[in-house]
Amino acid sequence: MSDNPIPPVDIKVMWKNQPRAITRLGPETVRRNAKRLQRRRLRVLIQETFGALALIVVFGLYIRILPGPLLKMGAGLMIVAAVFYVWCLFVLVRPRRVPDGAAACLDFHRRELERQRDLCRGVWRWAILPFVLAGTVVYAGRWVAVPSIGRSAWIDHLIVGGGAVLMLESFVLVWLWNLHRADRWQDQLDELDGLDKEAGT
Amino acid sequence: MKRVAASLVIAAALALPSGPVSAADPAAADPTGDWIGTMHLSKLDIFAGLEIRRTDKGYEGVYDAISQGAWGVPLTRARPAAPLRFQVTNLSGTLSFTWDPAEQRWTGDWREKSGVYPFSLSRGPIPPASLLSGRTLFALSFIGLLMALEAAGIARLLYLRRRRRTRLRSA
Repeated sequence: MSDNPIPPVDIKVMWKNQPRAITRLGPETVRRNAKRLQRRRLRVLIQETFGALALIVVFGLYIRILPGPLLKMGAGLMIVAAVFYVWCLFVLVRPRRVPDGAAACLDFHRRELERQRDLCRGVWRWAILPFVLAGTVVYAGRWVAVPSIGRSAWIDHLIVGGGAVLMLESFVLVWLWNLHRADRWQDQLDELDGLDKEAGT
Repeated sequence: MKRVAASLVIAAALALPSGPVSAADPAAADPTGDWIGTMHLSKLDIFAGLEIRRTDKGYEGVYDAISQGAWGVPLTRARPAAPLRFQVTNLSGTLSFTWDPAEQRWTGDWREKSGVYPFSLSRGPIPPASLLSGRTLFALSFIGLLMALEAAGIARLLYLRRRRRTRLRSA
């Protein structure tokens, strides 16, 4: 214990005024981050494509199995939504080659971050909305269809309604998660802007 | 499973009918009330019932696949004619009955692409629906749990967004 303890207010001031220990982004770091982003995109592209293909297979079977035109139509719409999603992925999320020059790399990475941020912000339009529409038709078809074995109609409706709410909740969660990701991309963009300012001064 | 699916198909067929019929024949019985009978599918017999009531436009009611545990599949748009007939447009199938005065029952069949299956109905009480089976309880619990988890996730993300906004505003 010191005989002269530092008053708490001073500690706060010292903490706020301490020099930033965070390493500034150098050209190599930018290049590494740019490559990491492109690798991440490739991974997302592969994962989501396989997921969408599985969805297409499952709902293709549903078209054959499920009774009623509404359920069949919903399953068909789900397949259309999955195909549209894959197409959007290949158009929007396709990874690109990182340029060699430092300035070009910085510029490229900034553009890619902006693109990624905008993709996440607009995910409801190209990824969520089509599935919400298709899912709504599926649940509507399930609502009017025969109750499952061992259930009365109102309990079946309770479960189907719960499932529909769960589906919507899931999409809200995905949307918010993507907004959160967009914020993280924006943070990285701000960091790059800080790098630019430093280079300018 | 095929049999179960077939019974469901029939139940679904009855859920969206465009029109039974009845009693143009004065000798035919009034179809209103509870009817029970056995539907003979290719490899399965299903004990089922119809609860039919009269409306301004004809008859309405519900179908109960009693042996399958499925109650309350709605029947609509049943118009008087002979024989009693339900056109099932969504499954391209038909359920039709004719009144058999000697047996005092509706004798008929379910017709769909895969074949014609006999189904006859006699007047009789329909047992009440069971409420919650173990499977239903599991489904409800599972949905409830997932909803709670997702709600927690949504709350967390909303909190993070709010915190970020506050941080940006103060900066």
